Amino acid sequence: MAKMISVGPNDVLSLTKPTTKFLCPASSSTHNIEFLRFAIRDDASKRVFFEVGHGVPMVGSMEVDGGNFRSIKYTFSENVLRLPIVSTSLTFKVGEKAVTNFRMIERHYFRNQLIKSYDFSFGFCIPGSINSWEAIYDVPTLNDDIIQKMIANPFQTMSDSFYFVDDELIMHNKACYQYVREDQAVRLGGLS
Amino acid sequence: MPHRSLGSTRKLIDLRMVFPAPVDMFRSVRRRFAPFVSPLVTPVRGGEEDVEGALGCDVLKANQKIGNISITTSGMGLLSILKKVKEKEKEVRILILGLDNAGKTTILRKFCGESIDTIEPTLGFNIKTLEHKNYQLNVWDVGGQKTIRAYWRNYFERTDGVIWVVDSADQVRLETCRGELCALLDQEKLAGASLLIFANKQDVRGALDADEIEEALGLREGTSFLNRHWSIRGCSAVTGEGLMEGMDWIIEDIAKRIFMLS
Repeated sequence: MAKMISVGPNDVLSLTKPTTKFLCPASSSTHNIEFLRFAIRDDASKRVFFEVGHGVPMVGSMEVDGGNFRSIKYTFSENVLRLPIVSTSLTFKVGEKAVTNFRMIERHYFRNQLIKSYDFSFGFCIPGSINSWEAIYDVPTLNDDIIQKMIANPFQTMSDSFYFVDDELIMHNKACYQYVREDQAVRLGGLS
Repeated sequence: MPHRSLGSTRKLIDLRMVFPAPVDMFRSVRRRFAPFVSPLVTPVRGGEEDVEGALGCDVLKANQKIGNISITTSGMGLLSILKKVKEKEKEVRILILGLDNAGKTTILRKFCGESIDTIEPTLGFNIKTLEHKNYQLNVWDVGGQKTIRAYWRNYFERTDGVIWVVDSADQVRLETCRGELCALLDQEKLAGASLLIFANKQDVRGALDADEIEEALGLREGTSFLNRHWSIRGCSAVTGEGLMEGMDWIIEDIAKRIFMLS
């Protein structure tokens, strides 16, 4: 594989649309950071509408694109777009080496429009540790026009997740989303 | 024994109360959101009348003027906070520490209205981020096992408040608990942090009450606590008793300080 130019946090924070390719090779993580569980829920009702992980039954619908977990297609109920407060939780395991300055930046777009950017520094991770992070946040208010467009254009809502250790990009995952009517989502097992 | 879930009817803390805002707002804002807020809402205190009390006048040495409020302080703690506020004023950071099995994770989860049925020992950290209009409250619960304690210092940077959780029923380890707490308070990076001590497990028979824990930890002795804003509260992470009041105290204490420096 051709050597890639090193990408730092400021580079991805200035991105204005989804990347056309991965900005680091799949093999660039020498830190053995392993994601164990990811869940999204409505904070008011505590209802989990998406969950995937080791040893937990899957909730919701997702499809792994292209044979590895770097690119995932999600299907959500359109109601998700109107939830005022959402919680996302992530559990990850760190290898036998301590991880310093671990940081995640996630950019969400509809087509070429940035909708939301998350930037969180975990900082230090203890060797061999299992860690969790739950973020409870206001969903950016989307006007009805853009919500309708997101529903009408499946998988044109996209996100890039970048993970850095000491400002060096070690993982890059992509996701795209389609939003369907509540009854369809139920049929897909998304909101049971 | 039915217990009301603390978080079920509550939403998100109103972070406006935590972050810099005009005096009037602090006086008039009623905290509308939880989980960090008691249903018996009281207006947030703040303003000049609290400034001196907030710093503990008995230890005043230096004198400095920030904004239009003249305050005095014994030194480093305040300066480090001022620096912090400038650097990253939109984040408030609370660290929950204590010996293993003290109930740190249970407190955090109970407080957020989550199930406390299956809680494993924390082998790293659990972070809760509450985000509202680009303001963040980050609560870090770091495991308390002996092997993990050596790593605590990695989490001190930029900490505004420390919640120290004590298993009030574990009298055998109170001396260890006291030692770890004192070592913690010697850390320069935590010099400016508010300290809340939860005397947890008040629901357990034979548990010492908050006064007895205060005595056992020597909170009135020595110099560790003289120059610090601290409070001790009895609580039960299982029933939820006392959690709101404690969290109210520490959030308010931090908020006052940040407000003061804005």
